[in-house]
Amino acid sequence: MSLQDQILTNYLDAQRGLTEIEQVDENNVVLSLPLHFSANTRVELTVTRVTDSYFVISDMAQTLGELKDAGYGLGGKLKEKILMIGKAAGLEFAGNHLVKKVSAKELGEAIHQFADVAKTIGDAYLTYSTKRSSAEEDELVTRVRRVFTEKQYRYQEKQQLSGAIESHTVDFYVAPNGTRGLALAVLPNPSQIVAEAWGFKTRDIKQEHPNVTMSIVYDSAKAKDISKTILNKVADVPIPSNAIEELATILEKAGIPPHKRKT
Amino acid sequence: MFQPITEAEVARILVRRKFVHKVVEDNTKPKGPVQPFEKRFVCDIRFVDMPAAAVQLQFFARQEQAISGVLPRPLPGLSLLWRGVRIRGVNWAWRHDSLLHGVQQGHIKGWHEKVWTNSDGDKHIKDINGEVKNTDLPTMIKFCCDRWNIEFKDDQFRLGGT
Repeated sequence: MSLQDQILTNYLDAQRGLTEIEQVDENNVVLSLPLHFSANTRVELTVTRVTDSYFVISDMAQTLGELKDAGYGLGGKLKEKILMIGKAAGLEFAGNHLVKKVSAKELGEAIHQFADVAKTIGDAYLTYSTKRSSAEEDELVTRVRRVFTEKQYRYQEKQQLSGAIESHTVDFYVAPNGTRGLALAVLPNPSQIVAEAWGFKTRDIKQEHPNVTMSIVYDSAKAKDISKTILNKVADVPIPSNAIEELATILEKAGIPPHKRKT
Repeated sequence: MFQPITEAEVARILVRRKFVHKVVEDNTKPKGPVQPFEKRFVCDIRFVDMPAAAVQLQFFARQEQAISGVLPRPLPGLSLLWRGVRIRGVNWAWRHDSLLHGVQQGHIKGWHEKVWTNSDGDKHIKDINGEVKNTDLPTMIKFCCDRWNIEFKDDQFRLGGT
């Protein structure tokens, strides 16, 4: 046996051993393939025989389902992106099911392609998040706004604050009015450059407004360690996105309580 | 500052009595003739001993509609999310590999529970095939709530409830 035959045989034998296959009824077979995507879940497919020469492959809605279970929000834009990946391999969506219709002749290759797409969706587009849409960027601002409204902070949005060197726009501003004020910036995409820029902005604002506390809310899933370190050092009150619900408590601890309303 | 989730924190969360504070989404009983392609039940969870505090716990259950003629039919998937991260999950897979301390520990077929560990996150699973009886969504919600110490204020999903 030549070396290439030996390697190929070994590889195919291993694949055969790792692949689980079971016939559910006379027309349905389940395949569990040795490919992992999010949360260590294997790619599992059903192959349904519609006629002797026509088959349907489905993922039993597990690709999207597993990601939803793991806490990923699959919004419209993201789903569009997933659809695009699927379309490239001739896949369709039936609800949350990924589906492909194929002829008997194409079945082997189609299973391979299908599994590849399922893995790509699980891996590349969700486990490692990509650039967010503007709708998703607004989500952090919405969450901060909701906390401020619920806790009755008197805040202003998109305020320009003068710095020692230049002016800066912050997303939320609570005027000091004799106590401590707050300038809060929301960073949905806190790359290292953005974090460094806010390092400068923070210092510049604080030089002009010593009685204003600088707070930065950043997307904790998106921020790399270096960005987190910078933001945690430069901001008086750094708040990762997964702690926004505790924003009011954190601010209160930092000496910025909600405003009391006159009754 | 962001803190990673630890096994000990998860254990503490699970052992405390919890209740459904607010149902965020529930389309499990559609009023019209059109069935949603995915039934979802999502609710915010709080601790019984501190009901006023939001603790970023969410219970999430869903089940896809089946495609006509395709077997097996999709089964429910349920999870308990803390700060958006799955700390417990129950679902079904034909074959699911399990990790413990980064090492493959074999695989489980069928129903399994994802158990958060320090080294593997939610990649460690336990076989619960012997414990799962009925597999419809309401029963599975009840099963997971009992398992994760979550109390319902009403009998919305009790078996035999009206």
